[in-house]
Amino acid sequence: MSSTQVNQLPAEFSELEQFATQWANTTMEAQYQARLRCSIADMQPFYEATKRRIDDIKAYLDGKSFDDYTEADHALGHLAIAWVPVAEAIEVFKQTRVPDSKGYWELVQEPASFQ
Amino acid sequence: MVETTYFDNSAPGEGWTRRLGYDSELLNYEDMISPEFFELEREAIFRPAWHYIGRADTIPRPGMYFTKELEVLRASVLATRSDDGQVQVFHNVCPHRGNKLVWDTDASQEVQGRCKTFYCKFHGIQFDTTGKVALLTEKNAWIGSQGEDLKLAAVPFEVWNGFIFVNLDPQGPRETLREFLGDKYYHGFDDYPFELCSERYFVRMNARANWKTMIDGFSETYHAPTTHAKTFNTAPTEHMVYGAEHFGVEGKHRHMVFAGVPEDFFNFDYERLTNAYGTGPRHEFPEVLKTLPEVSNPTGLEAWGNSSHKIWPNFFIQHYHPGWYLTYRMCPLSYNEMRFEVEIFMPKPRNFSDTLSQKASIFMVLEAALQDFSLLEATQLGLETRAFQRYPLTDQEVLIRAFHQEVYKTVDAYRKCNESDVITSS
Repeated sequence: MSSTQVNQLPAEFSELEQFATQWANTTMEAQYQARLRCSIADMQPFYEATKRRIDDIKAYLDGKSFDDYTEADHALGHLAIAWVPVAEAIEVFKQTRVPDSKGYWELVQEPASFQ
Repeated sequence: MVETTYFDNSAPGEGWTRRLGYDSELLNYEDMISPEFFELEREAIFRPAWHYIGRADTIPRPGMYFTKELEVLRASVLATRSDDGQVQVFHNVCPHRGNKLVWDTDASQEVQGRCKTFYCKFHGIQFDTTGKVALLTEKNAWIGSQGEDLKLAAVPFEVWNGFIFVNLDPQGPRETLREFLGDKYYHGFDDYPFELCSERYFVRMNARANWKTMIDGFSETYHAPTTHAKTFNTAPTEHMVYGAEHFGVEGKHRHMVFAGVPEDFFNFDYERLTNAYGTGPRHEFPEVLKTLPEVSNPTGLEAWGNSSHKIWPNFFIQHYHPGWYLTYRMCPLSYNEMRFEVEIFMPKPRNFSDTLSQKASIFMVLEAALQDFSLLEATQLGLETRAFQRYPLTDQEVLIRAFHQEVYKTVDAYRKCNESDVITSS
């Protein structure tokens, strides 16, 4: 389900464009899988750059109704959601996988985003 | 490390164990490590019980369906909605040659979708959403009316607050769902607006552990500062800080109430930025909260955070502040294997901030579940060594005691009616 096409973010967030292809996946399953493929060092630039803009992303997207989202808005929203598991790995666990855990969950179903 | 005193569990003077009428004997966990005991549980515990299979609002329109595997009873059921708008539940089995009817790619896996008729992959017979034959193939080859008389086998079911429950006792249900749940539960949630929590997340995990390890894991809260030490930025202390506020037993069912954390309490930057915490999103949904049923907060706890209702034998409903809920199903596969199913239901996000808060909290829940899971497998492996015969439980683990006593009691009663070799609790 992972999305490999280049996602174009809104112009206001152009400095995050470099992360869109890798991180703006459309499902939580794919967003989490993207984290599992990376080391902490790999994720650090995405983590820091996006963290600086999370409040701006919320303000920008909260200003629109879901019906009015452009494709770029969708990609921006997904990028911000994908930042969560990355931040969790960096801030909480200091490693990609949850400590003392070799299992994995399967997110069988999730609601479509932004509807 | 944070040492919060917010969790001020106030056990009654005599302790929960005595208050709820239990003794303090050490507990034997043979019921989790014996293959023979598990075989008895199938008929003693699961056969007579009512089982939640899914919510009716996941199949709102005619022809929508889902299948549900109940491996412990070697059953597969098919829930659908017929043209007249009624929920229908059938055995997911073709009445012609007995093969599983609705599946895709892998016959052991569950499926969902929408169709006009259910088409058998074997000989092409089609059944409508009321279970009757809609199209009979090789019409002239059938003997008498045996072909046109084919009909899917109906499964007894009841819908309770949108939750579809089935009963798979071949003699028919021994008690109604109302009798099974008891009046307190059956009517206790009448005012809770389950339908407002329409955002459904469905998560599955498999663990090499007995189904009861997970029930025990979620029957006390004070493992959190150890098992989830990083997530909650805590360390275990001699003073209990993560105990539950209230425990109750209602027949075979049990419940537990836990305090919430203050609205502005965050351990990490990413929690603050997403307005989420390990116990859920922080945005307010007052239309859900204002109808919190008394059964969820029996003592009127002001700092109410969540309540967990453990429905016999393996179904949990947990309500959380500020207004969402989840269900757990601990599905037994063998004496030391289970599938854990979580359905998370949240209100519709009003804006992106709500979406971010909800999805962030779900990531946190899932990360925590991974930590729980490894512990369960470690528990199973440890118990199977039989290094100890009996184990103590703290006062905060009274629901584990209540549950295992009920399991032993139910299996013993079944054994007395059926001659077979058994393992007893004594």
